[in-house]
Amino acid sequence: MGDPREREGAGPDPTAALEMMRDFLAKGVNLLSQPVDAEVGTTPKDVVWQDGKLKLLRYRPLVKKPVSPPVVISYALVNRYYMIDLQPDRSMVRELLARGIDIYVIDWGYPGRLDRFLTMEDYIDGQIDRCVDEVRRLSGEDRVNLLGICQGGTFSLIYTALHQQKIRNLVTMVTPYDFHTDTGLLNVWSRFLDVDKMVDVLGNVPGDFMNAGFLMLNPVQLVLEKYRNYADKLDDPAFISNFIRMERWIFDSPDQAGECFRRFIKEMYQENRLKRGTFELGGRRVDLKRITVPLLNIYGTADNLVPPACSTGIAEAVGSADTETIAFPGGHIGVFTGGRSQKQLVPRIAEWLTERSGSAGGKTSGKTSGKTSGKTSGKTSGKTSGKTAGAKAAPAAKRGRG
Amino acid sequence: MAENPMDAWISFQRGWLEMISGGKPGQEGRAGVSGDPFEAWRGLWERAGGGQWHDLTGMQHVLTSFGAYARLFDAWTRAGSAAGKDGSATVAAGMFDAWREIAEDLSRRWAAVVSPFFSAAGADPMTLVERMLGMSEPLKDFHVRVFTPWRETVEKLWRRFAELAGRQPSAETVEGFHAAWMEAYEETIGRVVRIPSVGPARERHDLLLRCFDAAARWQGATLEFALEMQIPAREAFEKAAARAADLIGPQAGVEDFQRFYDDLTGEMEARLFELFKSERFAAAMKSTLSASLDFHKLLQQVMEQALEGTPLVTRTEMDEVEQELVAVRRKVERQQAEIAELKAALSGKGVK
Repeated sequence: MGDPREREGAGPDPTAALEMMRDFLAKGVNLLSQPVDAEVGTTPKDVVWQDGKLKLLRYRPLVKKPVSPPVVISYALVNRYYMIDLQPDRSMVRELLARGIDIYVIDWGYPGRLDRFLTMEDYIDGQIDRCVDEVRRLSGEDRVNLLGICQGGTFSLIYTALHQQKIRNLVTMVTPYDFHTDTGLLNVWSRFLDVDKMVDVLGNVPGDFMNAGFLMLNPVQLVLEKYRNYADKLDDPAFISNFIRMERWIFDSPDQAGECFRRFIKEMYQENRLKRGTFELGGRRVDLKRITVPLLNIYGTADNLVPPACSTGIAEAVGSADTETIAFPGGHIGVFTGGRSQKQLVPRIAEWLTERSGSAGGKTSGKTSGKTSGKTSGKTSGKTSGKTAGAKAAPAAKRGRG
Repeated sequence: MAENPMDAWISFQRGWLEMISGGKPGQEGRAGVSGDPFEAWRGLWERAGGGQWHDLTGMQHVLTSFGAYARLFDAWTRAGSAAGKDGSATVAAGMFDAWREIAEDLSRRWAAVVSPFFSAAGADPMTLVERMLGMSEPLKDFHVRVFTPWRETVEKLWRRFAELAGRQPSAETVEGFHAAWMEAYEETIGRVVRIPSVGPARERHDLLLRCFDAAARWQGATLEFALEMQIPAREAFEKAAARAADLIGPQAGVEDFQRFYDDLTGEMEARLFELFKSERFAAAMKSTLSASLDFHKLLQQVMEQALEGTPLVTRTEMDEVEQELVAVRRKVERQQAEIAELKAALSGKGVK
């Protein structure tokens, strides 16, 4: 088969080009006809507590004596928690386990009809609190570390402000706190959303609706280019596996419990109550200044879902003396799955937690994937110094939602 | 004769439009059925290749009967129109002649079907028809007076439909069709269901009407939204096409196509982002979503109405039960927490 570009002076040879295309597609079809290894969330874990759809999972520690207290991870309601363990060689969970961190994660499950009446109180004062209590009971620690991601980070801020006696350290990742920024399309669009009508009519808000909104944040990249890149690499089995894993995660979107969604959109996106200090949960005003535990806040400099402007003020908003903010070069998803994240960011999280916990982790007892450098790039200092230390914005990530 | 079913179908549709508009689609035609509708239908059917498809004996019967009905309608409209002009009910006689004609046609063509019915009514077909048509003069007068404005409205609507059918599809056309349908409904079924004695049926029809209205508004809003989305894409294509001549010449290679594609997608990305940031886009999105939700809300009400007469549970009933369940669950959780606190307090005091 000839290369269509080699016909000097005669222009491209359409027959040869078609043959190339045919062979390429045949290769792709053959590859896709085979079973593709696209398992997600493969790090061993156990359900240690369950209440209805709510599950508390514990990843099996890789060290004999993990760092204590354990970390409870609270993910956003809109996607599944296994983003932090998407593929074996890019797993935030594995990297943390390898560094002795003891990890519990809250699995919210998929809301059904009955769950449409779940409120923010049910999630924060109810579900998170019960999970935290369970981890306290299992670990024998009075206080645990809480790590919140995206909306789960917002929930974690609120929870800590109200239940600080149960929290040792707080980590927030790609967490929105100031919703009134014009740099994010979601922030702009949400202001136009008639959320009352939506919840009244739909009950739970479909995950597919949320997904459509996410895709529209960058339709050329997420609807067109992504699949063109996919087609370009049809002959690369590793790429195909990772691509399918990511697709699986992206489109595995649980519906949103109606009442919680209504309040989150109205009081956060539309009224910006958390930042304004007027948000109330269960009749109590949520004052972030009441948070005095150490805080580590991480945001993606190229995050178009939770733009930096939504997150940067968190360290200033809390009352903690010990804060650190990391501006990580990457998008919303790249913060978890990027190679640099595994090498630089996750080790820094482990280090930060270990420094502020009672007992350091022991030696690794299992095999871990990926290398770690232990250094963090793009770190900004806490409010004690107020300086930015080498934060560099990266180009917008071109996959997933980041 | 059409060569394939699709052509036949298109031909059939076009012919139907011509017939109802009295001219070519898009032209303002004469309202109502004109000429010999039976011949028109039969001609259309033959043009559509209908004869090739089936043994049409049964269909021919239907069409023939339809032709008779159409002649009746024609006579009726003329009689009604004349009555409206001179105010006399007597000119409606043509209408009753037409009824007689249809009755004769029915009894002749469909004897096997209609004879038992007439026999059961205790009369021979023609006597029964005469009896039915032997309405009093005031009744005839009332009939004509009611019919005349109705017929005028229908004529007007036909003209509107014919006009809209000839236009390019657009948001305006869709809205126009919607408005015309709504008007048609109001002037026909709407009049009937507003008769007080119709009672609850009126409310049911009103709900259906609002549901239809919401569906049309949703369609209109979606079209507007799609148009908004198409503008930047079209502009990007235009710009890329202008550059295509430079990039893709006779010697163009893969890299040139790649550059063209990158140009196009880059342009689209920039323009879409500009659009998405605008308040006009957010407003269009809100309006589409809102219209969709309005429709779904009414559809749910229609469904609930339909379920009322069945032993099935409605969504509202389910919601009420589920809300109670959630309240009970919260109460249990609170009590569990209180029990745990009490246990802890008691164990601190050494009480078991």
